[in-house]
Amino acid sequence: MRTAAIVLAAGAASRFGSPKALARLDGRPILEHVLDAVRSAGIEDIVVVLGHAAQEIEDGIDWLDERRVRNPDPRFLSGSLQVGLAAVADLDPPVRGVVIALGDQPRTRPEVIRALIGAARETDRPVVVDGRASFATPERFPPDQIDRLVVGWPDEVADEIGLGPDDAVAVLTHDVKFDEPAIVEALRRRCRYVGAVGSRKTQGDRRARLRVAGVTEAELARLRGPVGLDLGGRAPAETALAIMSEIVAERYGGSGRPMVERAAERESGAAREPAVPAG
Amino acid sequence: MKELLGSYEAWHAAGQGIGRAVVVRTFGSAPRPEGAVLLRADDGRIAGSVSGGCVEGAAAEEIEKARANGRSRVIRYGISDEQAWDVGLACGGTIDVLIEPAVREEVAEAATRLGRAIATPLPPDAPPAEFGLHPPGEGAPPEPAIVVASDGTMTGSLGSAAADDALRAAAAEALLRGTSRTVEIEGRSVFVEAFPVKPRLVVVGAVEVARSLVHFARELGYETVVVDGRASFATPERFPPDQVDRLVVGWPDEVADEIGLGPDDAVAVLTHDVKFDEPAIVEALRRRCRYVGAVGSRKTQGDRRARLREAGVTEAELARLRGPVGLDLGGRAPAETALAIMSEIVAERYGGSGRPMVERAAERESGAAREPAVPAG
Repeated sequence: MRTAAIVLAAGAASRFGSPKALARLDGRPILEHVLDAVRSAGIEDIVVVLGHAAQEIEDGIDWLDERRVRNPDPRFLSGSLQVGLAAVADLDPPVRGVVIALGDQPRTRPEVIRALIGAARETDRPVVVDGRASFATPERFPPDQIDRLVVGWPDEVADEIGLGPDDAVAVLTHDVKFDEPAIVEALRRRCRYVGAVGSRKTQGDRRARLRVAGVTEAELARLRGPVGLDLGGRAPAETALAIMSEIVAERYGGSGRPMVERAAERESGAAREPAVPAG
Repeated sequence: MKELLGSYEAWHAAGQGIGRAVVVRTFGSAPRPEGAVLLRADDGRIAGSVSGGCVEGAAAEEIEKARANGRSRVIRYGISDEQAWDVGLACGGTIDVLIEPAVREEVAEAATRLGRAIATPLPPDAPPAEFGLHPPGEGAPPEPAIVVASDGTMTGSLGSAAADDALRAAAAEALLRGTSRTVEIEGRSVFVEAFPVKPRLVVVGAVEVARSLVHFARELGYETVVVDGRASFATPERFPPDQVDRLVVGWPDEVADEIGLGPDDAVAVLTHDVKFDEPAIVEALRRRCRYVGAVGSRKTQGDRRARLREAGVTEAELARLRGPVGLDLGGRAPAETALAIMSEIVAERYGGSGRPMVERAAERESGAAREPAVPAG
């Protein structure tokens, strides 16, 4: 789930005397400390609300890709908040949560921001579904690792867990009667990533059966199977890493190939894919 | 076997005779992989397991028989779906278990010192590699173990240079992957038991990315070391002992000896500070660490390479430096950067391309594969 941040830095700092955002701490403006903390917490969409001394702050900060908006009447915090929220509402793709940070609190730690995000949303961490109660035990999947542990058939629990387009679904059973309903359900509900383990042979048989079950070719084209990036490892943790990497790559449109290869291609002018921002 | 050393040594010290059962082949979703061990002392105590609990009793009895008659046997156990369900298994698997009348010296030593594989020719009446019912034979007296070190040196022989070469290759593969398995060499089944050195990840720079990186590495079975010159970054609060094996405050080139930096290490340089990251890169390249990656934008990388050349780093060494670092996953959050780096370390280890498996599968089907196919595994 995407979360944005609004950083409020519009105040007049009448008691402080000069723009607080630019006051230096450890050799850098305090606003930069706040922006660092927000970014370190894993937030990419950052909206900074400026007001008083806006141009001075614009010029005094080493911006990355933060969006800057201005509150024409920065006397009131609530007004700045409204301006910030309006900017967040325009974000594409949309976000489902917003963290509000103050531009003059440079010692806010990324862990605190992350904890805040974690507390605000329930479906951030994974949901594990299995029909076998002996597998889906809290001993194997403790509550600090996953949000929900559901014993049931995937197609039956889909409603219960609100399966939808924001979900990435990894089907890890090796059991036809269990994994096929899960795949059908995940594809139907347009989950943004649908991957299923299985050898090449399994995948061929499976696709044939999914077609019989009424899955369209367009839906099948979205199924990642064989699953994961080609990392070459075969241990369970390595398979998990390959799948998680593919989920992230799919989200951002990454190719999965080593960055050094891509960089070399760009330099030789032979880039076959659009360049990504240097970021 | 490694995890049973405590029991083995205690029983051994108490004068107990000890026999061993070890999984040498699996079919289907077996509960325990090749190399899983059950030990039985002559007083009846057992340690370890070869299944999820269904065949331990039978295997322990077989060890007792082997202790009496001195013969090694391989027994194929089928695990019914019903039993499997009861003990929490995904589905019925089938396992071949080698029953040994004693734990050989070479095996105990390999489990202690690591970095080597032990090859054991299976008795001639062992079940074939193919799946199917196979009533157990009488077995045969154990053959001497063949020891293959990680540098390829071998103690013992299968009897021909070609067979020994094949064994050497199988042992290298087993040590790289950290998995034991039975291979067929010139018509014989040979169980190759791997005792790999635990892979190690050395992270230079106790930054946010490092926290996620050591977490992933630990999950993947790596020993983890974090080095930073700044005591305020390298704190046990940020890098607790259950995540990091060693937290070292110091300059990378100075601590290289202290941590024994070498070819078995993967090194990720995460500082954004020239005076810190360049000595670390130079040291890691010089010591031929198997993976050397360093964060930094494209511009940073260009400047850095120029400076490294001035510092005397050769072009061949520079070609091994991964920078920009990681696989191209597209994410920019610290945990995503860590994931991209960890994925590259694993891909580099096994020669993976990093590209999605579906793309590779599609290419193979269209006959346009640009890379050699990997075994289906």
